Amino acid sequence: MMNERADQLSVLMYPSMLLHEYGVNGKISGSIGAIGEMGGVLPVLHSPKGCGFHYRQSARRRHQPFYNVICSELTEKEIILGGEEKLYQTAKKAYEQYQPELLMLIPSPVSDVLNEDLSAVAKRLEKEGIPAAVIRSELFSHRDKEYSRKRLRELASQKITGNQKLETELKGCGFTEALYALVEQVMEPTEQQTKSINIETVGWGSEGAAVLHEIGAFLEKAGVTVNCWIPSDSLEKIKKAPMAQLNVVRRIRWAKRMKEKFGTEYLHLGTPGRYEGLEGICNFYQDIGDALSIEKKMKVLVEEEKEYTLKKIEKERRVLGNVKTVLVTRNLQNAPYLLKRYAMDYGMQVKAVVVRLTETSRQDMKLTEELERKLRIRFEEAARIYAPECRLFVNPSKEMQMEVYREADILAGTGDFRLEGQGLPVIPAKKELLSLSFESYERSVRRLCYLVENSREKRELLLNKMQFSDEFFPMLQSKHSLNGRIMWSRMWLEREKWKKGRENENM
Amino acid sequence: MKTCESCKLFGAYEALAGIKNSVLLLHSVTGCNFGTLTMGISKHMDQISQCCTVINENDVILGGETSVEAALQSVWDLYHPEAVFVVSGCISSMVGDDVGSAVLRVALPCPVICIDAPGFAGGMKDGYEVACRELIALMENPLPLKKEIPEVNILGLGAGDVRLREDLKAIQKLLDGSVSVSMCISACSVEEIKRASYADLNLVFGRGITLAKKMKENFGIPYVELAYPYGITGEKNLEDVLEVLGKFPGKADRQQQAIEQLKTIYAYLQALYGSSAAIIGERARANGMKRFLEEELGIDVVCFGVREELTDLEDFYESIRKQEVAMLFGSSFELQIARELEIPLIRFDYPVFDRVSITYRPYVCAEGVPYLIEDILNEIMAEKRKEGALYQ
Repeated sequence: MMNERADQLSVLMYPSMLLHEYGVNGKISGSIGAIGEMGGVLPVLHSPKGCGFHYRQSARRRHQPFYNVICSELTEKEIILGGEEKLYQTAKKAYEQYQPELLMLIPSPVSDVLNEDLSAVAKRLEKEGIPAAVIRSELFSHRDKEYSRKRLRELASQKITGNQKLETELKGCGFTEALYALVEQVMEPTEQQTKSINIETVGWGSEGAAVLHEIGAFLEKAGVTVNCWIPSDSLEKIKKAPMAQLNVVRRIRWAKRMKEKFGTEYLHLGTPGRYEGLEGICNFYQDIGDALSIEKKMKVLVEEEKEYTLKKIEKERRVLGNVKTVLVTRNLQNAPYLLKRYAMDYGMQVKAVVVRLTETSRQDMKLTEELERKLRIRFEEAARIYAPECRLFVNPSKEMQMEVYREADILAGTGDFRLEGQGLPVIPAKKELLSLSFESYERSVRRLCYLVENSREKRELLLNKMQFSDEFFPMLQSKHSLNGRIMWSRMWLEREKWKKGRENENM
Repeated sequence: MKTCESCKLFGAYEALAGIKNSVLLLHSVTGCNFGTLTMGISKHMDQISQCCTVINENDVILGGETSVEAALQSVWDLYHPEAVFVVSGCISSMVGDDVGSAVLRVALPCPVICIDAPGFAGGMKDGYEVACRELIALMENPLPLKKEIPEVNILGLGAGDVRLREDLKAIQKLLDGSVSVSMCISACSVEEIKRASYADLNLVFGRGITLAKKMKENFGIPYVELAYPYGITGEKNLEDVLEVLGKFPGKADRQQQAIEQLKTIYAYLQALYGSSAAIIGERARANGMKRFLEEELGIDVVCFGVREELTDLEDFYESIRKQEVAMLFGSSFELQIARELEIPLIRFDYPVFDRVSITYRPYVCAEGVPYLIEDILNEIMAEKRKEGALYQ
């Protein structure tokens, strides 16, 4: 197995966060990201050559390019006369040369505007014995920009203790479209096998691959088999995915379609809070057990494993229990879960949560006063349950912040390295990698304990010899770069407002 | 099939993205903005001067000109740039946006240059050429001027080039006050472009020939086409060319200094001598590297591909598979074939996204020779080799 730490570091070498300050990736990268996970599938991109050349290095795969991208390389001729024939010829040649098990035809904004019929090309290929599927464009070029706002609005009206579903659909990201195409065109009706599940693989965080192995191993103890890792499996396995009794999913649309088409139930991991921390791990396995009608067996196993895990880290939890911490974050909606993790899962004394909300983040998320009030109520609810002594500070003054920090032994929950050198050690958020396996919980507690015992204040941090923008942290304080960020906000999130302004001027 | 080079939009971007005090506005979909950023971000995280109109469905149906206008107005409000370059991609070209009219309507108090660069209409070189050609609109009509030293412009470099700043500095050091560089495409200011018409010679490294011809026609500036000046041979070639400007002193001492440095690892040079390599790259770079490897290191270049002339990357890869190749010179994308053949990859051609360059380690001229050889040797030595028994 790969070294997870090295892999995490390697992923970070792709400056995803910075890039996303200036834009979002096009839908093609999502589709290629999904296909890159599958064995024996070759993507054929119906686009001009630039897309074919560059999308090999895509945001979805970050540090790991996917080299085998075939492209129809549309030219002016096809723009005028249509490019379906060229796509057909390209796909046919690619099949002959590489002999993949399946070709997946991917549209581009150019082919969308041309209204190219990729399905007709796939049918023509199929007639000649060339297996081909088509990813259909749900949106023109990029994901739904309202997704995060919609999700926030829905989240704010939910109780912290509730287990309400939050099935916000994300359209246009390219990834879901690829999974949807698998359900529609690749998967085959198969007799369902009890106690068999599929797990969607992408989106499990820094230790994702290791955690998925651990989950697989635990489920095996309960007699549950993982039928297919979607989409990170062989084509044969993907075809037989409907054999599973249950889909464990992060994205909702393809799972809904699979339920409609094959009757496969799904467990969506997007339910806020339900799958957080140690309790969340237990809920996760128990929900699977419930869905597979092995509630009792699963309950026993989960209790045993929980007890065993807690016993193993007894010493570390004792150490953490004596540590006073202040959590710092820029994310008010997730603050309740952050509090729960540090107070309940790590057993630390959380004195306060400091939230920094900028004008830009308020605007970008359309965070109204009412919405903010609801989010604060959620936090108060969480504090009552998990850490009654914990106080919430939203945008406190510098003096107030320092006063709050004085109560703590460490600062945690944040990636803000500017807090280094202010009298307390900081545990960077990236060190906190709790996921949905018991092993992940054990590692997290041990790691945190080690950090608490060994972290020192870093007064000479090179990063802190540079100036960073507070409004757009962690961006460098550079006029040009920050203006680029503002331009992106205007042309993406505030687009209609800016265009309207322009139209009014023209009138 | 497997695409060998990027498109016209990326070519235009390469020519314009590094121009100081200007803003590059892409009138295109988000993928073009994100893609260009992805390729270039490791080189200038602190100086990002690009933005995008983010063409969406409404623009396709109703036209994207209002988006251009709104973006231009915002660009002016935020940056007050000395020039704006509007590069239009595939979709705007397909829906027939009249970007020029949109620019006129906004009437910014700075020059706004429009470049039509749909990806379906050409490759990277085409985009570079068309973008450079439009720069002539910014250039002043030269007045009679007494100059202390002759001036040259450098054409052909791109914002995403490996070691762009370092190579340019090495060339400037080579000129050492005898000749000055007026303007270098992709690494200059708007002011320098304006004054480029005062130069005595245009040095064209592969790309920018359209602009060079136009400048000859308009301003009478001669031009010379050159391979990228890797190695001592590259430096000599440059010296020979610059002799036409008169008093260009040779830099034999710098060349000797490189030799002295290489003496410390001479056995490794002996190891390279007679070995074989493959090269794939943009024409001027590939030619310059070939000359350096063959003439100065005695390496046989058994496989040679000019990116813009190839039609299918797989054809080139197949030719490498058939040859006895010990190392490959190319871009980061060539890692696939390098891994397959278990040969070292030396990254020298666009795009390089898996290496950073923050120290002064140029690859060009005599000064760059030790750095280039150091990297070649280190890549060879870093290549994973067998462990345990060698003959099992």
